[in-house]
Amino acid sequence: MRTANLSLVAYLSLCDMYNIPARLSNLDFHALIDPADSTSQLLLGHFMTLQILMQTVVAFTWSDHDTSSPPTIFIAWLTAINGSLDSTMKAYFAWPMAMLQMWQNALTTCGSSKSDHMGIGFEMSMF
Amino acid sequence: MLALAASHLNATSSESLSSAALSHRVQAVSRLNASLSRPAATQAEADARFAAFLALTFQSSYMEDGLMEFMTMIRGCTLVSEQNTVDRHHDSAFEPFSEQKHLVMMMERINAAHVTDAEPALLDEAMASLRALTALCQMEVHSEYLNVMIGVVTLCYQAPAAGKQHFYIACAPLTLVL
Repeated sequence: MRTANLSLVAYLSLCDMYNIPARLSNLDFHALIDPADSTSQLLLGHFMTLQILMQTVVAFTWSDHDTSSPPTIFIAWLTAINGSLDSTMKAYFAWPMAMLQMWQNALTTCGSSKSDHMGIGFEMSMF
Repeated sequence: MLALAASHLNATSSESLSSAALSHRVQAVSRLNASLSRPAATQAEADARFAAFLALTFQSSYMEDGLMEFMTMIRGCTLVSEQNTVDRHHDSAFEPFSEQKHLVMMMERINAAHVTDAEPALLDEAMASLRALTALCQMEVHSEYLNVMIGVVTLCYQAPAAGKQHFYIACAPLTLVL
């Protein structure tokens, strides 16, 4: 039977994705973030969703605060991407939206939807 | 710093400071761009540039329409950090961001991390959704970005005990630019 564990190396590999934009040429980078390109938007949306998936189960303990958590700004960004997609492309965004819903439900249950964690986590953006 | 502070206050209080935040941001980006036209004269100046990119990156993560800005600033952080040569200047205020120091710091945090199992179904859904995008990727950059994400999910399918071992093995090839 296959086991599923969010290994730390997988988490770190995700963190390393923050270095990818700097490795790209200007042309490729702008293609990747092109708001008019639905494939680009789908990819960026999946990247954020992977971070939600992994960061909700890998909790780093910090010296000055409890744990890291996904930035709630992702809610706005993922919702905006979904709104920009036509009906055909929305089918490719079903998983991110389902994960987003799950995460929002968890935030509501925990009562932690305050915007203290709205900004991106330092540990993610600077890795 | 003013731009970041205004955005943070706008997000965490009842004050409406989005206009002020944007105004400060425009000024900061303009002056930062102007400074980048020549090499930093001192380490302090290089540090100031890097700090400005960090502040603008964090600010973009408080902006509801800031995804593209965020990605752009992340790129700027990495590129400027390479120019800042933080790995070679020990008097940099950002020396803890150097590859070696950062790796040590992350090791400590990894050892203190609490990792819980994920439902296999969650990973299966992630993988299926990513693989479905393959047919849409007509550009090489799209395919490469997608393949990295597929690789991340693939790494998630590990025996629990192998987690830390894989981390130590995989640390070397990981590119820790900052």
